[in-house]
Amino acid sequence: MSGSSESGGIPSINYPNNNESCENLVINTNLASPQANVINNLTVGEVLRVNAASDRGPIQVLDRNGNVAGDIISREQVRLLNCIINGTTYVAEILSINNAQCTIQIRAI
Amino acid sequence: MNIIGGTYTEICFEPIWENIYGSGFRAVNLIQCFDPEKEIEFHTCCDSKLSAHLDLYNKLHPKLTINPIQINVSPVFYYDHPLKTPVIFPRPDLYSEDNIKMEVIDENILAYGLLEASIKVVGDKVVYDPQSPANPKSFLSTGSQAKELVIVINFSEAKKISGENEIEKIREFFFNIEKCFALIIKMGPKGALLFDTGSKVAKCIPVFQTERVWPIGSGDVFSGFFAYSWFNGDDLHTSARKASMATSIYCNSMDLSIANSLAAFEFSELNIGEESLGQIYLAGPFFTFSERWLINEIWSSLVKIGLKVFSPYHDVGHGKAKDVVHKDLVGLDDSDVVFAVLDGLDSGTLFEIGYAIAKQKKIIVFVQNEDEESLKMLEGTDCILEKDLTTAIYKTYWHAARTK
Repeated sequence: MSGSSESGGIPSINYPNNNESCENLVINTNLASPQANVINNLTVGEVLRVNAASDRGPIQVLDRNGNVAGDIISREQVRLLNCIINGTTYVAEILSINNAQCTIQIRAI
Repeated sequence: MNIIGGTYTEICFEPIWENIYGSGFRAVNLIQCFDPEKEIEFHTCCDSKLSAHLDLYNKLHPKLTINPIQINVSPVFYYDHPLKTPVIFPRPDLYSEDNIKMEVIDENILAYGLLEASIKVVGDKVVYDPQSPANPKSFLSTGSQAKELVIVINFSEAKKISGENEIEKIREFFFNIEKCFALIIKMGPKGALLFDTGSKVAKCIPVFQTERVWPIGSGDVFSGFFAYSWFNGDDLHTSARKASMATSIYCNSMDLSIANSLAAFEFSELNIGEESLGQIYLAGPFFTFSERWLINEIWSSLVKIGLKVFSPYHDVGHGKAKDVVHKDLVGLDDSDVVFAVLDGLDSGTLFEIGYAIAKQKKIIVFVQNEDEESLKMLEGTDCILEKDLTTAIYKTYWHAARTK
């Protein structure tokens, strides 16, 4: 034994490893600027569309009628936007809803 | 207005949070969300990854000007849970604030302390939040100057900088030595104390009771919204009260878009005095490592926010029934509020809850994975059932304050 290593890494349940491809990018996060009138009609397990409003963003989550449920803010924002611009399609599954607070998982399809 | 402060990656394991904020960038987001027309100049340090993140944000916010200083690696703050002291990567001692000096001269400046740089500001109205529990810097020591200086500071930071433990001595230090115009001491779940120029008596800034509590970044939001309101012409008390309201909305939602909730504000205020709070009885199993780890985390968190705790694990320990049960029940009799860890439906914990209900004590139950049937009796006896650990701990604090 030689003692502990220099860096043990930072625990993360997401896959923001720089080697991950766009297809393998998974982000668990909260919906930012959630729109209560849209969120109130959503259910846990529902899968929503992820859309970049422009090549600068914002990255939005849309319900089946095209209404904006909220934005995606993540430490992987730049990579996610580049992946969307380069053709990867993502969806956001609703993991939980607590009042207007909504946790989602973003993954490629 | 000018904002000077850190941009950091923040990771929380439970509940999940992986975002890029830090004090400075959080304040920028808060104010830009609230008032998109507000012109802000933001001074920060960032590595290449954070720089790309800031560039993208800037493209969507044309009223914002960012003056970044490039560094090799920006710090990552990692929390097991929000009440745990964060672990910082790379180690904080590898940063030297003497290497980078950030200077800002302007009319209105909101200045947060940084880990990786020293700051010097010269302004008419300055709000200074040292933002370093381990090594807070006094405003005077930074060489900064302000015509009107408001220091917004945690109680522990205020004690460290002043070298004093009593509020009155701390107040004297900041007015006489630091020459501040006003002092706000943030007291966590108790709200804040505002000392105005020339007044020895603090105005209590209430805390607002929210449904959920997400404290990471709450201090940044308080200082940020206080500065925004004060720079816009609100008086000190109004600004501090609005800041507390903004903070409660952020803590409840984990979100910085607070405008709608502020316009239709719904949380009730709680003024907590200086009298000591009731004792908490910490009920829960401690047979395995994971159970003991959780009990220890909860014990540490309750103590850290200022509560007196009786914990059978810490105060009595393992033993035979004849040796421990009576001592546990005396501890329970002497307590005002019970915090119970219920996952696993441990028979001892359920007994303690039933005993406490019969004695008309308030029960806060932390439970994440039990079905409705198992919880029916607790629900029907007004126990507070919480899935979020931090929220359960804050609600325990607020109920302990109410029982006194």
